[in-house]
Amino acid sequence: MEKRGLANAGPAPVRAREDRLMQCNEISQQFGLTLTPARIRALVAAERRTLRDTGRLEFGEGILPRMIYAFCDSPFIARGDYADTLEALQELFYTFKNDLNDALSDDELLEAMHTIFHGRAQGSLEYLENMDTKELLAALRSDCADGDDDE
Amino acid sequence: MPRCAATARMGTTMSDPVDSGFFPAQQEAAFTPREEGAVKARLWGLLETQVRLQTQGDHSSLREETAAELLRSLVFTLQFQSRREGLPARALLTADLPELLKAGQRALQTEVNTAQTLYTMALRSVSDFGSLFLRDTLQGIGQFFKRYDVCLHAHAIPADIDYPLCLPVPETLQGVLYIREYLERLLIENRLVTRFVPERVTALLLRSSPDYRGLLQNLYEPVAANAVGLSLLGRGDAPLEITHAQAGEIHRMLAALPPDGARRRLGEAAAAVCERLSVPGDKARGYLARTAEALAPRIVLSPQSASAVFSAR
Repeated sequence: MEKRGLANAGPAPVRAREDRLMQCNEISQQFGLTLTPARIRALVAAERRTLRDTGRLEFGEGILPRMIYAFCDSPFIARGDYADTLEALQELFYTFKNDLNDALSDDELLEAMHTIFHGRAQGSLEYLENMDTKELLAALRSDCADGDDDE
Repeated sequence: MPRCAATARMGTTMSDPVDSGFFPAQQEAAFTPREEGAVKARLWGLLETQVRLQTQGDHSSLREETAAELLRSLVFTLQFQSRREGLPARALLTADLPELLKAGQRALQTEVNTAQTLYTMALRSVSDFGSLFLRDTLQGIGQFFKRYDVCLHAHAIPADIDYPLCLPVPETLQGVLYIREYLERLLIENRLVTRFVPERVTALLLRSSPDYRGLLQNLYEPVAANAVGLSLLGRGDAPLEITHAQAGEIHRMLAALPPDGARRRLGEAAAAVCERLSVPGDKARGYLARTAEALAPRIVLSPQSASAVFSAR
C-alpha cells in the first residue's frame, strides 16, 4: 500500500479533532485564551498541512491539546496571537521531531520547547525557530538544570 | 522437518517443489475503491496498536517511512495467515484482524523455530571450502535470530546474506520465510557437495575459479554440473572431472536434440545422479533437476561454452 494511501486512510476524523480542541477552551479560557470554531478549523487544517510537509503521520489526537494545556498559562502569549502561536508551535514541534530523529518523546520535546520558550527565548518564536537540534538539546539540559537549581 | 499446514497443502498441488512458495497468485478481482478504503481504515486501527507497541506510547506521530514499514509488516503477517487459512484477500474486509494478526504472529514464530533448527544444522554441517562469503553469511544469519521482530517487523530480513545460492530464493518471500527457504536451499546444496571427496571438490572449484574463496561464487553449481555431465557420459561422477573432449561430446549429444529434449535429458541425468548418490527428498531432487536444466543453453551454445560450464581441463 502506498504511503500516501496510508495517510489517506486517515487518523481521527476532522470533526473529532475539532471537538477535542473545543474542549480545550474550557481550560485555556481560565487564562483568557479561547479558540473560535473558525480558528479551530484553521488549526486542524494546519496540522494536516504540517504533517504532510514534515512527512509524518499522526496516530493519536495530535499534539495541539497537550500544547494548549502546556502553553495556555504563558505570560508571553497574547490573546490576539494565541491561534497563530499555537500553529507555529505545532509546526516547530513536528519539525523538531524529525530533526531529532524522534530521540525525544512527545512529552520530553513539549517540555523542552516550553522550557526554552519561557526561558532564554522569552516568548520569541523566532528564537525557537532558529535553534538547531544540538542547541535545543544543550539548551534543554542547561535550562532544565537551571530550573532544578531554582527549585 | 516440520512444515506448516499450508505449505504441506500447497506442496500437493504445486508442480515445482522448489519454487512452490507460500504465496501463489490468487485469482481474485481487485478491490473496488470503496473496499480499498474500508481495508485501509481497518488496517489503520491495527497500525495504531502497532505504533503504540513500537513507541511504547512515547510518540503519537511517526515518520511516514517508519509507519509504512510497520504497515508492511502487518500486511505481510495478515497475508501469510490468510493464505495458511485458505482465506481470500477479501477476508480483510470482514475477518477479525487482530485475531488473524495474532495467529499469523504465532505461525511465524513457529517458522522462526524451524529456521533456527535449520540454522543449527547448517552451522554443524555446511562445508564452506574456504569461501569467505559463505562463512560470513552463515555468521550473519545468526544475527537474524537476534534482531528479527515478529511483531513489528515481520517482513524484514535483518541479516547480511551475500553468499549466492545456485537457485536464488524468490524475492517474493520476506522475513523469516526468506531465511528459512535460504537455509533449506543451502542445506540441499551442501548435501550434494559433501557427497564427494573434499579434495576433488576443492580441485574442481579451483579449476572453476582460482580465487573462488574470495569471490561471490556458488559452490554447488560446478559440482552439480560435473556430476550431471559425468552421468550423461555414463561415467561415475566420483572424479568430478570432465575433459575438454568430454565437454565437446556432451555438447554434441545435447545440441542434436530439440531444446526441450536437451533440458529433459539433463533432468534425467540429474535424476540418475540423485538415485546413485541417494539424494533424499523431492525438493533436493527438484533442485538438482532445475539446476541441470538451466545449464542447457550454455552447453548447447558451443563446445567452448560447454567446457566453461564443466570447468573442463
